[in-house]
Amino acid sequence: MPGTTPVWAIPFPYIGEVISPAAFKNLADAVDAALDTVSAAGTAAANGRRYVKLSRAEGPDTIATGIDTNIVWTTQLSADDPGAWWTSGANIILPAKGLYHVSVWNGQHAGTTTVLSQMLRVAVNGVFRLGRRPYRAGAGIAESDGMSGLVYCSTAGHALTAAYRWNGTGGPAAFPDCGIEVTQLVTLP
Amino acid sequence: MTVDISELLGLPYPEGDDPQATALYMQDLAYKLEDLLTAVNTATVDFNDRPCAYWQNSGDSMTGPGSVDVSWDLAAPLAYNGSQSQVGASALRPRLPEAREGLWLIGSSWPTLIPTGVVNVGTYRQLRVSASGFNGQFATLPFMGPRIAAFNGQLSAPLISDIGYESNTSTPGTPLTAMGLCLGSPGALIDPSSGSIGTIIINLANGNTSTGFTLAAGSGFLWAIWMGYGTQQIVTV
Repeated sequence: MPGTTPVWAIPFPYIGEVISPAAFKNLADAVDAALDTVSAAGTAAANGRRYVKLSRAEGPDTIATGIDTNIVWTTQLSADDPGAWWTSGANIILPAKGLYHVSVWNGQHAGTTTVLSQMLRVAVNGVFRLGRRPYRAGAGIAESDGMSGLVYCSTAGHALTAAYRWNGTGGPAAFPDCGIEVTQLVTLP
Repeated sequence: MTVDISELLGLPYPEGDDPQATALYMQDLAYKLEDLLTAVNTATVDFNDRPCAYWQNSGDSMTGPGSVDVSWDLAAPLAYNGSQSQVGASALRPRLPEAREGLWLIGSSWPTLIPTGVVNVGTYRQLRVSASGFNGQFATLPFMGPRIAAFNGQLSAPLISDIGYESNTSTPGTPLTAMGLCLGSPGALIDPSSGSIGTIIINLANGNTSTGFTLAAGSGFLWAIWMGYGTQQIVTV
């Protein structure tokens, strides 16, 4: 009756036992299985930062001053999200409880007379978590802007959305081109 | 009976023709493989199991002008994974969730500010956040300063008119909306062998001369997450 190691159950014969070819096979199989487990964990560590990167082009839809409007994404630039975090629309479905890194940015918009400020905000499950509101001091257009930060998702399946708003006169503004990247940093139990 | 070992990994193999050497060899080999697999697996799990924390502010208030170190609800973090207890830590200065060497991603977002009086638009322009870094080894590391300085001038009258107040005053008790601030990705290497415990401080200053603010609980977040082992002593962002 061979012995086994306590963690990985690698079999070995005791001294005095008859060592058959099967003993070597069992050893090989056990090492193979253990390496398979370690390899899978290593791959997860190296490639575990699942992400999605989306964009949308400027207009033709328009947005009036002082209105938070969710950005509707139209193009997937790249992704490593086997769970299909996004297929269409404004919602990015977060696959698990945990922390996510978010970068979101917007381009210039047109169609306004003056712009006092512009704002980007990121919400998870409808609750705003990150935001940025640059002051434009009455400029004619909203400039390109962006931000990044971490958001927390408490439940798998919550939707992450980003909203854009401008304040000023004139308009409605052509909805600016926008982009977003969401990367899963850690999954929590 | 002789068993020798390989040069690189120290794997045993039988030497000579002693018939018992094979059994001993296999036993030694099994345990050596056990140790190697455990070491590799531990390192992998260590990397996947990232210490992290995500706190929300616990509802400070501030007068104007003045500043306040933002306090954090350490007892009820939204997310926490680490061995470092926050029991006994100052709510103003949370500890890193784990005293682990490496690169830490630390940042904060603005809380929602609720005016406690009439906001004078003309003087509402010195709102800022700063962080003093870590106690101990990096006690005075101002790793967020320059980014904040660039942000100061962006908060003035339109901040008020943005939310519907076209006059120079706002109504007490009305949230000024959640203002997020991109603090970038500052990081610092923590050396647990030094005995230092990293703490994080976020300071919010109010330059308004006529009113104070309440920081709405449930808004404004502070995060710290271990990103991996570094290869340098100090990372400059």
